[in-house]
Amino acid sequence: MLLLLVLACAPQGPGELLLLPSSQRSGLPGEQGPYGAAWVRASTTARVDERLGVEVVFPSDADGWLAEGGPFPVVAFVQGGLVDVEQYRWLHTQLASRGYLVVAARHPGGLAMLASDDSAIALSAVERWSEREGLLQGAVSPGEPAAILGHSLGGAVGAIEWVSDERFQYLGLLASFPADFTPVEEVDRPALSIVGSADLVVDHAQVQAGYERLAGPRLYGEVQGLNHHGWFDDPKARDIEKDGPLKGDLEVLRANATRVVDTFLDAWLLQDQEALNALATGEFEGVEVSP
Amino acid sequence: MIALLLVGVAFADPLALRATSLDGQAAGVLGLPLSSVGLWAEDWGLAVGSRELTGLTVEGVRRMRRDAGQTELQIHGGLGLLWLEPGLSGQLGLSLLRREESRHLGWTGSFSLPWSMRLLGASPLDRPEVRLPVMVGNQLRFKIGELHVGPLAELGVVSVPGRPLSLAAQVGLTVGD
Repeated sequence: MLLLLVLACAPQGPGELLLLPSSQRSGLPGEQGPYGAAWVRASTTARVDERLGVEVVFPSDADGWLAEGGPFPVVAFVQGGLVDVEQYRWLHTQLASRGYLVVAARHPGGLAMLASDDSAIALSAVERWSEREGLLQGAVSPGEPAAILGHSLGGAVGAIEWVSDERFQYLGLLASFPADFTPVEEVDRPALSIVGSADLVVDHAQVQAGYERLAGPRLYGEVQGLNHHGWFDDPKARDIEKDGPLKGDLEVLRANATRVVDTFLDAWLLQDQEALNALATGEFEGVEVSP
Repeated sequence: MIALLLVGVAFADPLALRATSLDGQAAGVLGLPLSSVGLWAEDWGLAVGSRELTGLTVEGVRRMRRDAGQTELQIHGGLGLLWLEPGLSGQLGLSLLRREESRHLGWTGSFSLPWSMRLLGASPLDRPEVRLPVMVGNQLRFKIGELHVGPLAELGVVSVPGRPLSLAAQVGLTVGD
């Protein structure tokens, strides 16, 4: 009975700390922000009676509790094929430290394509947990626009969710492109497509073609020197064999990439005018940008 | 008695009862996502099951024999108590099975519609939710001594109105007498 009660509850705190808060950090795009970051996992129900695992990385205080300053805008993240959610924690930590709450559905077998509505279900769960007593109480504002980011195969799944669920107002394709059957040309909401120049896993022509189908405000960026597995930690041998080598320091290349991602999120989720201007200008260090 | 060791993802079905329709009177399913036990009384069956601790379901099955028992239609329905997100569920489904048996080898092909609906409580999508899987399965059965042993695999899609289609798959191993 105790187990049943635990299962039925919203996540209780504190979370596992990933980063201590520090007012010394600028939080400029491409850099960590002043918030701490912590993660927590919980389960929710999907498709009547399936269990869906959800990982949330949130702005935290030094003890792993939700930081003051919320509610925080939501960024849903969809993992790449056969890549674990945990391998993207560097990115989730960066986003949380800048004041975003990251929610990632944990897909069966690491294949998001098995259930392309999992991120929407995970977002609903976070919204419910935000209204209940627990670690994430007050963390988000239900109904507020969210962004969805996906890497590789996760980007294709994220595009499906972006098209089918208007809560996801903004789409970020990280080394990815929408599938042919996903009608992204019918959506006029903002989107970002960003890929590394040294990425030999994804077909750059398909990335470019997918980007051209986007009908709303859009930005295309090619991060000079970044490859495919540079987007996640602890790549396996199979990830490295198929990919090109990094051409530069990974930390620098990631900073160049996240400078664009952070600017995109700041511009649309926060309606930050400086970020909107930066997107319009399209000048980012280490990134070739086209409108 | 038939026991099933099952691993897989994303779908619920009164699998124990379908397995027993090979020749058994009782069945058990152990594993993820589905665990269940079932009993037959003539052409009626009853199964109690749980999926990944999301709840407890009780389902009845009516077996309709045709073609000297080689082709079979099953109608199953029941109720579930869900506790991960509190609520009730209802199940209603059809399964069509075709069996071929030789002295040492058995094969069962299945086409199933194990549909379910969330009845009460908070829905994950904040609206009534219906789950409509369409599944196709294959099950082999070998005679090893006094035991029957065989693999099982099912694939399909799950439709939830208003949501994109999801894929569903599960594999299992049957052991029985």
